[in-house]
Order: sequence, then C-alpha cells, then structure tokens
Amino acid sequence: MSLIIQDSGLFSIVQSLHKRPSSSGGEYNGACDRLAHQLANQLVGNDPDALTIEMTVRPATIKFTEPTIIAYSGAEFFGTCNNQPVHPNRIYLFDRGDVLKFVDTPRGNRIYLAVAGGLKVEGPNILKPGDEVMMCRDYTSRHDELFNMLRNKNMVNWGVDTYSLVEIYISDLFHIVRRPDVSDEVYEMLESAEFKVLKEQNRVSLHLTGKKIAPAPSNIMHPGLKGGVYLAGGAPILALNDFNQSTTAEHIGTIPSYHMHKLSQKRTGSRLKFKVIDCEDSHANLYAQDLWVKSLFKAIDYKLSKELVKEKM
Amino acid sequence: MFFANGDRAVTYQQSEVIDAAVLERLKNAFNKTAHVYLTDMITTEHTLTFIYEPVKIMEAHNTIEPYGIVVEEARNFLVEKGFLK
Repeated sequence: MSLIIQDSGLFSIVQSLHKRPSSSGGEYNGACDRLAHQLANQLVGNDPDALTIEMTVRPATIKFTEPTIIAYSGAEFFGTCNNQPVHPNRIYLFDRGDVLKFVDTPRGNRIYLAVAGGLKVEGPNILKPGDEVMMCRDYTSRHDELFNMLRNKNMVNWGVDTYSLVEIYISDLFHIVRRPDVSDEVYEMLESAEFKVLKEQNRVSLHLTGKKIAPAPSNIMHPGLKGGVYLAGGAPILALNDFNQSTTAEHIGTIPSYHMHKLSQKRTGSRLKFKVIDCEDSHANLYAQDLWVKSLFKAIDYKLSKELVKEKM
Repeated sequence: MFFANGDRAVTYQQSEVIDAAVLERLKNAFNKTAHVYLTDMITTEHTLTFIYEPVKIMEAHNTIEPYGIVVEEARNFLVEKGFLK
C-alpha cells in the first residue's frame, strides 16, 4: 500500500535532509528548506532525516490507501480532506480513500509532507501523476501511541503556531558572508539596492533583477555551492541545492545556511535585500538558530508526550 | 588564499590553474584519508572547497568561531599531500 499522487502539482519530489547518493536514478541533494523538512518529521515522530515529499508553488493532490499519519511544514498552504480544513504544522490521521488537496497561497513556495514510519520511492524521485510513494511503516512505540490517540478524532488539537516561526521566515533581509577579495564598493551597491526574484530554476537557482553590479573580473572557476551568490551580466543568481556545476560567473559571497530556509520560500516576485557580514557573525547567528531549533523540537516532544499521557488516563 | 565560503565551507583559491592530475590525486587522497571535521571536498581548476559541520566543532571546542579550526585542518591536509608548503 502507498500514497498515490493523483496530481503532481507544479514540482513535487521525494527528498532527503542531507545530500546522499542514490543507485535508483533519484537525485537527493537535500531539502531546500531543511527546517520545514525536520519539523514535519518531528511532528509525526520520525527521525529528522526521514524522506519527505517536497512540493513547490502548487502542491500535489495525494490519495491515501491505508490509515496514515501525516504533518506538513513550510509555506502557509492550507489543505482540505473530506471537506475538513487541513493546516500546516499539525498532525492528522487520514484513512483509506481520503484525498488531500491544497489551496494556492500567495505567500511562500515549498511545503514538506512527512508520513509517520517514513516513505520511499523506487526509481526517480521526481513525482508524476499516478506515481506511488511507498510507506516504509518503520513504526516505533511513539507511532503506535499516535495511532491510538488519533483513532477517535483524526487530528491533534494543537500544532506549531505560525508566530513561533515568524523569526525564521518573515524577513526579506538576507545575510551574505563576505569574500576578502571582493571590493567594498560591490558590497555597498549590493546593500543599497532591493532585488526581486525574476524566476526560479527548480531547486537549482533563483535569478534576481534589480541594480546591475559589475565587479572586476577575476577569471576564476568558482565551485557551485548552495547559498552562493554569483553575478551573471551584473544580476545576482542565488544557488539552491541542485546548483552543482562550477561557474565562471563572479562569486561575491555566500548566504549562510540559517537563511536558506527563508530563501527557499521566496518565489517569483518576492523582494530581497542583502546585508554583508563576516564569517564570525554568521557562526554566532547559526549557533543561536541551532539552539532555538533544538528547543522548538524539545517543546514538540514534550507537548506530544503530555497529550499521549492525557489520552491514556 | 583561504576564505570562509559561507558558514559551512572554506575555500582555498589560487589564480593559477591547478593541474587536472593534481586535482584527481587530491580528491583520491581526500576520500582515502580520515578527517576530523572535513566532510567533503569540491574542486575546480582554481579552487579547493572543504565542507564542514560548524555546530559539531562549536560543541566539541566550546567556541562559536570554528573557522580557524577548519582552515588549520584543510591546510594540514594540503601540506601533508605536498600541495602546499
């Protein structure tokens, strides 16, 4: 039994947390929004690196073929199932034959759907209509308790509130870690301008439009690195997870990993500003975010345990 | 020159092209060598980029400035393999 992809939406892919090799023809370069991927897994009691379904701009329509516990995180897409509203960052139990559909949202770009016990695909991981996503059913005692709790009502009353995540997603300001060989003039131009997302090449790059910036040519072949900020014809190109190729486009800095969550939620038309920082500052910010994420996940565990104890009494 | 390429990578860059055979030798050596914090190496004809997990170093060394530790490990690797003096 499995999840049936009735409509694959604009772009849906089964994705891992970390980059990993695949022998089955799939490309696993990691979730673009790593926080949303981990959050969805945390809610359904999975390991943070269990595979999720990453859906971009217009999410897929999914049919369930057996009782399945799910949660999804990321952009504020709202879903419906059996005329019941389905919200992000909450836990649901769907039954055989249930179909989950999503309504378009003007904000955000990607959601990550996790299934209790994990999921997998055979062959390519880009989903097409009619594809089946296999359920691993690696159920733990936590999953069994969740199934028992959700047997009578198919959702948990609480979830992670949008306000809790505002700090991560809401700002349009992105840090760039400076390079020692790029002039201050280039960074001043970058910081003084506002840019707009012209287009996204799926999971590869975001192309921006705005003030043209022309650094002195270095004639260096730069590595393609997630978060890299490159200039092509004076316009910034921001590298996402699948940007693997080397490039002679000028590399002027790299967006730190703690801002990649919100970058991957920017869509065509979104506005962006930049602030150039040193590596030391980026590490201090990363550490602060890491502590915050750990405390959020602990709070979810605590809340779930409390709910499960309440159910047993 | 070494520089921080974001918060999870350090890059060694030189203006002269690195010979393809040298790059291949370094890649093979990197994959066969045990590293403390370096997890991957990405090469181009001018650069060698080392990937690391910053929080792991921060927790192991009780610091929030892991950059120097990573550069030292990367430099030692390149010296050991005869690429840098």
